[in-house]
Amino acid sequence: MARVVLMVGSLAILGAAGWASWTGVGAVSSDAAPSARTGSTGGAFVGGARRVK
Amino acid sequence: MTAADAVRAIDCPNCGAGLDVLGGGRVVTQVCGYCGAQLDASDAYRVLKVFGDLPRPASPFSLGMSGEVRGVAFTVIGTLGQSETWGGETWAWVDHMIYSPTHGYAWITVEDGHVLLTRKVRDFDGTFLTSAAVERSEQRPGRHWRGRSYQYYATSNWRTDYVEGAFNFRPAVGDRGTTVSMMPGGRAVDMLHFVEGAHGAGEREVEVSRYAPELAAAFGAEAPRPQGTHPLQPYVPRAGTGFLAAWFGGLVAAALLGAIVVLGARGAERLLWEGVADAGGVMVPFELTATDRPARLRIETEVDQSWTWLGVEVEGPDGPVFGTGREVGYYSGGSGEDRWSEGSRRTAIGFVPGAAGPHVLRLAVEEGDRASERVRVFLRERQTNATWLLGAALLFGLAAAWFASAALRHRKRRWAGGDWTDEDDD
Repeated sequence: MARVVLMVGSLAILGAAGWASWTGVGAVSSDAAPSARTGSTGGAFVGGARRVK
Repeated sequence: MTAADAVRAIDCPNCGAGLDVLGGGRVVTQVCGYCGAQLDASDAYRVLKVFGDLPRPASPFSLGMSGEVRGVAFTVIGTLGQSETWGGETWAWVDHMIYSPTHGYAWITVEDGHVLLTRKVRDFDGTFLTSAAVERSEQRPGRHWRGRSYQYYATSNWRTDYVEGAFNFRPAVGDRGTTVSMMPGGRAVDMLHFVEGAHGAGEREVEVSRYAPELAAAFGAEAPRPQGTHPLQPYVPRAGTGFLAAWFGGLVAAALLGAIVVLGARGAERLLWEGVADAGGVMVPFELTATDRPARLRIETEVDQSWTWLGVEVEGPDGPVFGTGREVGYYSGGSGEDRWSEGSRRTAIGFVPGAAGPHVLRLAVEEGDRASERVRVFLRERQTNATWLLGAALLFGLAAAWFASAALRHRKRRWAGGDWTDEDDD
């Protein structure tokens, strides 16, 4: 029984790790996450920035 | 036939209790279990000494029990309660002398619930290892016996606390002796004992012990519950240990393979822009095609002995995606082995794309030692994060190592009770 629990648990860990790796969980910076959007850094672009190609 | 062979029972001349006479013609002492009288079996059971009412040590074996040891019938004829005290700690065990009319005498020892069989060695032709020799030795002492190499394990300064039954020597409460024990390396599990004071002061004997839990059933005794790992205990793998080691090894391979696949599934990194950014900022248009996974901006600068604060904003078709800032600074000094550096010339920002389509990156030098910095900006779409799979591989690797090393850990536990310390270990 303990062996089955270990096998199922380890497969669940592998599946979760695979999903998290594939979808990029943790690859988003905390200050650039949707919940942290401010829309502006507050000053750098006041008056506009020059456009480059 | 000796007198002891002929007599089957006697009444204790000290207390009158009936005593079975066990142990054959070489028995020289009978100790009454009721009053502690030591009787001279070779002189009409004359009372030699009375040890008094001593508490009998716990053991599943008792006098008169019979059983087979490797097909030979033996009977329990004597019991010794032994102990060793060192450093404020006391270890206790029980030695039972057993007797076979055809094979003579041997010992069953019960120690922390482990059952051992000990017999005298008659063919050891090496140098007897004394505790004094151990003390003088600068390297772990070794001996050879029957083609096998034995390494020093521990020295025990024991004391006899309890005596009952028949013996082929004259044990007494308060007897003291020293046993130097050695074990072979590897998986072999027997122990050589160099015993001083085995049959009285000044007597020496070499003995060998092996782990023998089957003796409890063989003698009809209740099997004791072993505590901890005994030095003589052979490794018996738990069911499935090998399978689980292979299972977790397979999962390591699967997780690493998955990490490779995940890394290969990332979008290619492309250069978005290269130029000089200043306080006025630059606007870099770019196209985002994938929104199912995060994107990553990587910004490289050429700061040197300086720092800068970069304001970074990205706006997509649906409005602002994020706006943030990053400090980049790099300092170094010294030369040769004293060379040092701190900080980094690069930074990265991972973000969740709102929608596919045209985006604009706004980048500006907001603060810092210099008014402008040369910058290169890279973008990678469809970002993945293999860290999770690599972490899982590490976890599975530890589990595989745990199961695969079960035998090695058992061996380490067997030797853990030894008292040899190499100089280098201090």
